[in-house]
Amino acid sequence: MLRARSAEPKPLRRPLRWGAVVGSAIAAFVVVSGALAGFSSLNTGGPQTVATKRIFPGPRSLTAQDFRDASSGAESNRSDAYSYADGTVATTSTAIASGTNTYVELTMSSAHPGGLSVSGAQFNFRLASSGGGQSGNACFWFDVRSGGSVIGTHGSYAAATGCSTGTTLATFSTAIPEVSSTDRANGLVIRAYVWETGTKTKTVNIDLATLTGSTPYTAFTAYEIQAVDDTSGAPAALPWALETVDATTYQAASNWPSAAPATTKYLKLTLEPFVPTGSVVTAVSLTNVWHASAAVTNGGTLCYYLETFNGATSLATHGSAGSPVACTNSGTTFASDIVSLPEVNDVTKANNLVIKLYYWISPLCGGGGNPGCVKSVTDRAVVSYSYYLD
Amino acid sequence: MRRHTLTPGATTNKVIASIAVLCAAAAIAGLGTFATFTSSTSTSHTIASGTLSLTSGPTNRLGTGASAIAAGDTMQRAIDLNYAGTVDLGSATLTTNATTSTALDTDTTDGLQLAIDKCSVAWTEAGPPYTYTCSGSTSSVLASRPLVGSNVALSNLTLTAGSTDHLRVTVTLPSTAGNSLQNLSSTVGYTFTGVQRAGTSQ
Repeated sequence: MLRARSAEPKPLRRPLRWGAVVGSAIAAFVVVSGALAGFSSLNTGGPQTVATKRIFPGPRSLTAQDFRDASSGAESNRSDAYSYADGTVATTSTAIASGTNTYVELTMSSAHPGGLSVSGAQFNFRLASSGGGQSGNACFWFDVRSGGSVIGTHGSYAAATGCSTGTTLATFSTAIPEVSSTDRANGLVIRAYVWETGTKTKTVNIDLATLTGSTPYTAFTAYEIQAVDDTSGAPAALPWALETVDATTYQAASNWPSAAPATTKYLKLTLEPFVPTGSVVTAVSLTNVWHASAAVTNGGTLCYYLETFNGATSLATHGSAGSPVACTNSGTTFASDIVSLPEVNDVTKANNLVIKLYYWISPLCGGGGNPGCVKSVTDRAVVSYSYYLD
Repeated sequence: MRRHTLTPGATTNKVIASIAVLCAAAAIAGLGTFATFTSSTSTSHTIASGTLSLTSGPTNRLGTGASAIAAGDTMQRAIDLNYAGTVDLGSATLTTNATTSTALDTDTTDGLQLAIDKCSVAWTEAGPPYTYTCSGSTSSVLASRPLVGSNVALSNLTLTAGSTDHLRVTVTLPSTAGNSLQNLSSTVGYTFTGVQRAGTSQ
């Protein structure tokens, strides 16, 4: 028998071994499972849906690009040259020919909430030759920079993005789809390579350089806050005077009145609309950084109060002739005032905000024994809006 | 000498028979490891198993969501966890899963965070929006952690059959949450699981 068993063919012994292995595994599983069993119970809660605001709360700052000086009693336009198609132009420092690779670089504001998608972004550029004998046309191409990197190039010296004719200003709006979010739009840098085609090369006038587009909640225009003129080959920064605390300031055109403010003499800030419809405005404030154009002597001070408007409708005054917002006698040290504007409490008022600052010298200026009358020097005038969108 | 002739059918039958025998032997051997000496008497008795039941209520606000929250916001929701059976629990865990998932629940750092604490008496509710105060003593059931997790151990629960734990679930969007978490929505389900205590002499 043994000999007979050992003589069994190999094909029969292999299934037997596999049967033993599989059987052992099944048996082990049954035993272990039985050992681990026990009572348990479940209870479920929810579902619970949590959704976030469309725009988180936060302050966003905006500088008035539309700025008027009525220190003389007659309003004059001192707005940023690059912000409006109004004929107020910035002229390149140097005549520029094609192929020089010199440029005018524009840094846009950072007023919009981050993290939003942007559609329909465009760079709007308005330019013309400054004219003169043997002048020609003004042309340009540009690249788009964000976070220190070039993210798009539009045109070239061989294929201009646009050319105006003669000294007639022309506007060119170019789609820049690479600007697809507010993270890119905020602080966007446009480097515009401009040139003049005349047989005797001339300078170029630039009337407008803005970024427009839409977030899911509002259309917007972003304005430049700093231009760099590199047309000479040596970059020269030209920040918008009211944007930051720096060496670039705005000095009022005329001396302020003596003894009391006059409602006809002011500096006027007109803020551009940028708060999305439906937002909840929680706080608005003005930061005014300023001093006198010269030291105010003999016990005098330069003072101001301000008035806010919803368009042309007065909202509130802050301070008065008898109780100024602030005074200074310094001709060098900047005063920095933050004035809360609680009356600006909704989107309409925020988007139509106008602020007039009325300055005067107290108690008197000019004449014997009195300090000399002075102008104001403004280094920064920025409005901060805190808002959110549910 | 008799010669063995193996037909396909005979082979299959032998293999099946072998497997069956080995399974039975192994099972008996395995069960035998848990066996001990036994004895039988003529006295009869009844052995009835207990029940383990985890229920919620009367308070259960977990189904109440929140809209338009911002970084730094918290939402509190109370739930009573009842151990309604006759057997004590040995431990309890929580599994949270997102049925609608966004970065709110996948961002474990700046996304939603979950914490649970317990009040020795029922929470006093105010709102909505709901907030809760405890007139008794509080203890932490789950320290702050990312909202979604599987079989997360809960501590400081009573777990005694017939008792109730009064829980307050706090969901927080950290103040570090950035703009990328704006305009998102996640839906989360909660599953509490209780497991019986270890076996004891009865």
